[in-house]
Amino acid sequence: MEIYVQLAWNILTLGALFGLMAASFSVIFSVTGVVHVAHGGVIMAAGYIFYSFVELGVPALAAATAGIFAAGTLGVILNILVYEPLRRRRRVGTGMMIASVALLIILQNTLLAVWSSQTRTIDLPFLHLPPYSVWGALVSPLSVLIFVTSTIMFLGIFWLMHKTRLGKAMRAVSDQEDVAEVVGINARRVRQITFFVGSVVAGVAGILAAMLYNLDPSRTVTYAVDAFSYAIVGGIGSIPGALFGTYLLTTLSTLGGFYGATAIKSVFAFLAAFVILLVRPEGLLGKKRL
Amino acid sequence: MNQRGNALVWVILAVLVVAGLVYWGTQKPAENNGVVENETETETERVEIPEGDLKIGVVLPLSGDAAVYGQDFLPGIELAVEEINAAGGVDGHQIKLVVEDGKCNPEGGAAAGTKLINVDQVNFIVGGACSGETLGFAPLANEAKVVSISPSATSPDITTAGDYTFRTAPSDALAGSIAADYAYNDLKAASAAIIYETTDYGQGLEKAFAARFAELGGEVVVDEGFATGDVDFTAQALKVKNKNPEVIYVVPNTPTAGIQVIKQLRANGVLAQVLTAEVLASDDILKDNPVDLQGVVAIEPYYNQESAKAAAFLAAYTAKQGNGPTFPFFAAGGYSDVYLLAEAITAVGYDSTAVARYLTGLKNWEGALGTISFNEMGDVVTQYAIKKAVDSRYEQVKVTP
Repeated sequence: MEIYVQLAWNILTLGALFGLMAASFSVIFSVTGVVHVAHGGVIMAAGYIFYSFVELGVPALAAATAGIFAAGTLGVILNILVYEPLRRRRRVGTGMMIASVALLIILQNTLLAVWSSQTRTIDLPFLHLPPYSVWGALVSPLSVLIFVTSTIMFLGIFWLMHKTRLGKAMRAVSDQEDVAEVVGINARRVRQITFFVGSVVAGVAGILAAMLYNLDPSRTVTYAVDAFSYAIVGGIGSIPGALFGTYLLTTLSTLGGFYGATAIKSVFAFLAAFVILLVRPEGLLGKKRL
Repeated sequence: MNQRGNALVWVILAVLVVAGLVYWGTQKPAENNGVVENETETETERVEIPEGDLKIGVVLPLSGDAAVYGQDFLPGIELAVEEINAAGGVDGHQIKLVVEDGKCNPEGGAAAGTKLINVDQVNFIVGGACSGETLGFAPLANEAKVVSISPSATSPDITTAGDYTFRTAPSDALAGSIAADYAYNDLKAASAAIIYETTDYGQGLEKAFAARFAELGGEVVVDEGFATGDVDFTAQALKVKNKNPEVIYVVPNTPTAGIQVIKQLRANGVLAQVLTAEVLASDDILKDNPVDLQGVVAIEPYYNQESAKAAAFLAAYTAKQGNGPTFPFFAAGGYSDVYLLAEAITAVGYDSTAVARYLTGLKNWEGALGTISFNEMGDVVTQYAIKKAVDSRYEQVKVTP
C-alpha cells in the first residue's frame, strides 16, 4: 500500500518541479513567440549561482534570491542581445530557434568552464532533516518545499496573467502584437518584462532542481528538452496546459518505469507526446492559431 | 538602437569572428610532411619518425556528463608529453597532441577517430576514456592499423576489439564477478538488485555481476537500467524497495548519475548496502556527498600508489593542477599510456604494427601504475581494491589476489 502512496507523492513532486519549468517556458513562448530552448541554461545558471553563494556561507534565502535575480537578468540580457536584434531583422520562427539552440550550447559550455563538470551538491542542514512518514510513505521536507513553492508560483503566474494590467498587456501582445501596439501598448517593453518574469520562474525551478537533482552542466539540455516537450504537449501558450502536459507525461514515464522497464521510461512519455500531437497539433489545452 | 549603432555592432562582431578564425588557424597543427606507409615495409625494417613533430591523437570526453573524465585525464597526458619533450622528445622528435572530443559515446568516438586517422593522420592514439567511444573508433583504428591505448575503457568487448587496441584498465568481466563474490561471500547477501546505465560500460558490469551472483546461488531480484541523461530515479528506487534486496549493485557511467541514484534510493527509504564500481570510488566525490555515499562499498582496480613512479606522478599532477586527480588510477593510466607509446616507438620505430607487437605481451613494465603487464589480448593484468566510504574517505577493506 505505502508503495503506491510513495509513487503518487513522487509523481506530484516531479510534476510540480518540471511543471514550473514548462510553465516558465510557456509564458515566454506565448507572449514573445520565441522558442526559447536556451531556457535550460537559465534554469541551470540559477542553480549554480545559488550553489556558489551557499558555499560562501550566505544564508540560503539570500543565496536563492541572488540565483533567482541572476536568472531573470540573464533572460533579459539574452533577449536584448539576441532575440530583439533578430526580430528587428524579421528573423522570427526558425531563425530564432536556431539562435536559441546556439545560446543553449554557449550557456552549457560557459557553466562547464566556470564550474567544471564535477557534480556539485547543495549542502544545507535543511536537506538532511529526516522525512515525515505519511501513510507509510516518506515525504522529505524538500519535496514539500518543491510542491508548496511550485503551487504558489503557478497561482502567482495565473494572477499576473489574468488579474493585472501587465498581464492584460502580455495577453494582448500574445494575441496580436500589431493591434496591441495600435492601442498604445509598448510591445518591446512587454516582451522585456515577460523575459524577466519567465526567467525568474525558471530560476525558482532551477534552485529547487539543484537541491533535488544536484548540478551538472549537462542537465542544461535535459531541462531544455523536458520543459519544451511538456509545454508543447500541454498546449502552445497555455500555462495550465503546461502543468497538465507535465503531469500527464511524468506520470506516464514514472508508471512506465515502475511497471515496465526503467531503461526506456521516457519512451512511454514521448510515444504519448507523439500521439497527442498527431491528434491535436496545438497541444492538449492550446488554442488554434490562425 | 539606430542604424549607426547597428552597423557598429556588426563591425565589432565581424572583427571578433575574424580574430577568432585567425586564432583557430594558428592553433591548427602543422601539416605533416612525412607520408605514413603502413603496408610496404618488411618485418625487420625500422621505420623512422617522419620529419617534424610526432603527432599523438587523444580521444577523451570533453563535453556532457562525462567531461569529468576528460578534465581529469588530460592534464596527466599533457604532463607526460611535457616531461618527454623536456627530456629531448622521442628520438629527437617533440610530441604534439591532437585532442578530440569523443563525447563518451560510440558516435562521438567514431567521429573523433575518423578525424584523427584521416585528417591528422596519426599513427597512435591515447584514449578513449569511455568504453563506448573506444569501441566507436576501434574498428576504424584497426583497419587503419592505428595503435590506441585507453586509460579507462573497461568493457569486456574491448578485449576482442582488435590487435591494435590496448588498455591500461582491466576488463569488467572480472570486476563484475569480484563484486558478486564480495556480495555473496563477504556480505552474505542472498538477494541483490542491479541498477545500471544502459551503456557499454554499465551493461558489461551488469552482465558479469548477474551471471556470477546467480552462479554462486544468489538471486537477482531487480535488474533495471537507466538511460544516459536521466535525472529522476524514483521508479527504480521504488522497484528496489518493493523487492527489499540485501545488496544493491549500482553501475553508473558517470559520478553525477551514480550519486543521484543512491540519493534517491535513500530518499525513498531503501537502506540496503550499496555496492558500486570505480566511478564513485573517489575521495573528492565522497567529500562532496558525505551523507548520501556513507557506507557505500566501491570496487576499483588496485595499484600501489606508494611506488616511486606512482608517487612522483601524483606529486607532479598536484603541483601542475593545484589538486590531485579525481580518478588516480585512470589519470595515472593516461600518463603511462603516453610513456608506453614513447618507449615502444623509441624501441621499434614509427611503424604501428611493430609498436603493437612490442606492446602485446609486454611484461613487468615500471610506470605510474606500478608494475604492469599486458596479456596476449592487449589487456592489462591487475588486482582490485574493495573500499568502503567511512566519513570523508574511502578505506581499503581488502585487495583481491
